[in-house]
Amino acid sequence: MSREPSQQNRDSSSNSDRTNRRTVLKTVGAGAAVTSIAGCLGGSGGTGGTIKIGHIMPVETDNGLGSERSAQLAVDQLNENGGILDNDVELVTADSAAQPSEAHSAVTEMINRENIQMLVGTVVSEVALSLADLVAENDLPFLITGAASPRIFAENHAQNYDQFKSIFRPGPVNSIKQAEYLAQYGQFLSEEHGWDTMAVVSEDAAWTQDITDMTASLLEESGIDVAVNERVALDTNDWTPILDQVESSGAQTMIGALSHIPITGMTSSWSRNEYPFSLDGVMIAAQSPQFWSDTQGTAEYLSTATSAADGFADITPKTSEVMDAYQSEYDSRPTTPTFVGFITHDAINLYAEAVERAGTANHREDIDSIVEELQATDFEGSYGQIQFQGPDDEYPNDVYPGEGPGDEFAPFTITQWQAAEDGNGIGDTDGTKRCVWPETYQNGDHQTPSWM
Amino acid sequence: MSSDTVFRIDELRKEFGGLVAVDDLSFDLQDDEILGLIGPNGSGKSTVFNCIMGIYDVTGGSVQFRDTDITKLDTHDIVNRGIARVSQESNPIPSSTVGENIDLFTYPNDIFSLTGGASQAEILDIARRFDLDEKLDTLPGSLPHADVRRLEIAKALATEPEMLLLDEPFAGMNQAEIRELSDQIRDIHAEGRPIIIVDHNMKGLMSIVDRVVVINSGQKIAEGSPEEIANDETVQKAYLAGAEVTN
Amino acid sequence: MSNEYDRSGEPVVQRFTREFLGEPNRYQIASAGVALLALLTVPFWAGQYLYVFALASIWAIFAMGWDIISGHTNYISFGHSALSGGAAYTTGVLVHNVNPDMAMYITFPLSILAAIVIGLLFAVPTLRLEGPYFSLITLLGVLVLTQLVYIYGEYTGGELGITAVSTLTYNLTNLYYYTLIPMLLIGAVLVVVSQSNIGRILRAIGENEAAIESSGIDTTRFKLWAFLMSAITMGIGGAMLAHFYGNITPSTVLVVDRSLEMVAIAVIGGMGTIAGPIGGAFVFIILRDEVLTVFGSTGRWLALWLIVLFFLVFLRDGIFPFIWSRIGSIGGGRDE
Repeated sequence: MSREPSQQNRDSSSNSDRTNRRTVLKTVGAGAAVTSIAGCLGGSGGTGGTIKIGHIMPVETDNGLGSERSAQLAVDQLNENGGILDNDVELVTADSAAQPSEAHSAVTEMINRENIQMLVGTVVSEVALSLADLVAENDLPFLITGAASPRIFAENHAQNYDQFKSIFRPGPVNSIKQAEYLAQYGQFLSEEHGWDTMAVVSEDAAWTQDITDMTASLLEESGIDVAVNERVALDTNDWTPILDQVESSGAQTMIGALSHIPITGMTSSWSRNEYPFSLDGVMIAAQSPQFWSDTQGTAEYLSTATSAADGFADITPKTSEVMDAYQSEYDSRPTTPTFVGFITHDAINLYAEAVERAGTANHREDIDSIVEELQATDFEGSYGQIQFQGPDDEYPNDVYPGEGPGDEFAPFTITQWQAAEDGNGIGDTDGTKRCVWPETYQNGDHQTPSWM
Repeated sequence: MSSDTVFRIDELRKEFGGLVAVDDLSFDLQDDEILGLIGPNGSGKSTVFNCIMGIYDVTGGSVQFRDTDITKLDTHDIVNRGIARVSQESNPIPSSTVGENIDLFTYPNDIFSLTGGASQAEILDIARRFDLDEKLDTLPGSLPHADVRRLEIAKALATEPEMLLLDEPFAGMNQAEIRELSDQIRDIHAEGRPIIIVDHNMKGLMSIVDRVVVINSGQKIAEGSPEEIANDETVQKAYLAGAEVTN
Repeated sequence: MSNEYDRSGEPVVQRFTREFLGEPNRYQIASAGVALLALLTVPFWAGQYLYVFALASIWAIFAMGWDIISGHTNYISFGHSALSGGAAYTTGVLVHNVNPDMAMYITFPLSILAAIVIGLLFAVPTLRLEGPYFSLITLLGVLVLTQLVYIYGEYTGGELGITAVSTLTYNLTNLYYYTLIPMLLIGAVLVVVSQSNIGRILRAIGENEAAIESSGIDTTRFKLWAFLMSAITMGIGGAMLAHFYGNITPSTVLVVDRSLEMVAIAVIGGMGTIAGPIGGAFVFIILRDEVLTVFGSTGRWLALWLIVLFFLVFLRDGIFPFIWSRIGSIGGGRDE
């Protein structure tokens, strides 16, 4: 079946780990029907004392599940501290399966049946794009926590801010910035190891267009020869041609921008065949804390961008708080919040603060106050300091990127899979992640593959 | 009274790869006769019918009906021109009743026609001719063999043919049924329809046909009145050689 | 002697129901009426389900489109999503590459035309062939078309598709009627065709094509005609689906899995009846998107296909013919 999301899939038998406090999108019954009809008539924006937060992610993947659990954690913490505006908070979660149509259906039902006050999630840019009209139509605050394409804002807010103003992105930085930062990382690697030839390999999706267009030319400008700059099909499963091509180009590292494509096979092949180049870039599947065990250790030396360094470095004081809270609650895969989990956790909290300041969570009646306070956000998150660009900036409501990858605003951190010191590996493995760049957050040196 | 040639096959040839099933066969049909086409099993009789009806493409020769060359026409065109054929194997529509089966065969060949075809009364008349009028709501699967064969003829008649080809109409019937069917065939003929009947058994045909053509291995080996053919030595040899016995 | 066949002097309305609706008894008419009434009033008794019911209406269109050719003539198409997907992609590609504001009254007819063209590409060469060639070619056709979408990703958005398509409406009640009414209209037309001589001929072709050919019917022309009706139906449904989600991906509108769902719906509902597949669509979509989601996004597929397998083995004629005939035998059979 071609419905499988391309990231690593969890065995759905670990359903039992899911907390039973969350509401899943299946309520049937007269009560819910009444609520929905009332909602359809444009009446109350709340359901008598509960604020419902919607969460949409491909929850059968590590990242999606990490996000869902982190969302639940945030909601539980809020409830422990009195809720939002003295209301209880409830999480409503659904599976996007990384498909725009699934997400569209799920969010439509969340809006109409559950009357959610806010939506958080999406890691696939096309899914986020397809939801823009739907949430704008409903004046629903939508906090994007993973999907990186700037088109979300360039095609919507920049054309008609008032229509789309309820959509924000707390993180990560958009893919144009990521493209720039990747080039800077490449320069760092060149300085560290004396590399002068690199390859850029991107999957054929919306979020990588900027990487293909910009990263290579920025690297060239800094004196690095980009011998390969390829886009690969999303259903690629034979990596030999590409790996061979990179090898014969003489590149010392392959900078990969691969989010949808599973790369377990590629990584194993790269390591076992000892291809003479390093593997670095933005490779979402490799961010999973279980990636080392999935690849039987051949992940060693792979480095990838990971927001909050996936909790393996202290980006902000909140990083370890969220990491510890998550790990004390969950011990099945994924064993960390994953990069989206940190951002989702931050999103829910900054929303709560904004709504408290605005004095209302009722987006149907007073979206302007909520948006105003969201705009005013200056929040210390677990992955970085979060502010939003203004209505007149190039990407209104997109996260403010700061001056560079290593500053306090929306930092862009790279972690590398490395051998752990005795007994400190993830789970039962002997592998761990260290943050190798930017220098502000570094807690380990970038290692060249031992066979190079 | 003089009669005209209404139907003719000329040098008809059908090859299947290396096998010659119909070997430059020629005969004609007068508009007032019932012609018997007989031969041992495997002599090519059904193949001739299949060629006439456009089920097989002919390798050579031609088929003429009312001075029109129908050799290359599709089956349905041939039927619509007025030639109906009853196969050796019965071919009912299994999930339709007797009445519905007959009804189907009266439908016009028109993709835009939602209704049409015979009226219920007309269907009843056709069925009555073959003693099927009390079985109109029966499914073919529940009919005895003889009734299934009669249904086949009823369907052929429903297409309002000018000429009929009957392939082994008496197969599997007892003497009484054969007599009854022979009468019905004569009635159809008396209404002005020439008929070609194929059979491997001469006795059943003797009393009905006006003329006989005998084929063996795809070739005509004899032609004449039933009496002439019954006494023809070549014919007898062919049948004995083919392990068939004429009584 | 049966007097059923002597119907001179029969009133017109009675003749109409007899000829086109298969001589229903009063209980059957009442049941059909109740079902129709229920469909027309969904916002009042199932307001929660407007979205999924609207989607089911579109799938009912697909199922009817499949049924009028494959359910009747038994020329089983495994690639019908190539027709509806072709239509959906025509809408998407026009909007994405030519003009994002292109009006629906232009994109809709062009999408239907695309479905017809694709349909004829399948049908014209293959409907003359006996055996499994038709089915194989429809399967290959949809696989080829899917790959073309990936290869020309620049124009089609590749795996992740096109999101520039306008959504029909965000008002769920409107959405429901925008899909229900076309579905009922198409259903009315196709039910009449199916119950008419044309439908009987098509079903007879499905049972014994050789016999029908020797009744003077040009079976190839009838098959092509059925395929044309099917393609138009699929085109309408495909364009509607594009506007339902506001986006098009191969997974939503094109991949062979969607074709197999159409087959499954018609089988569950009752092949060769048009009305059966309408019911089948509602059953299937509600199972897929509401009931079986307890098994998770991936697990529900297993459950769904197991249910389809159950039907294929134990209830091959489908739910609705079964129910219809049960109702028909209430009161001892037909009214006189």
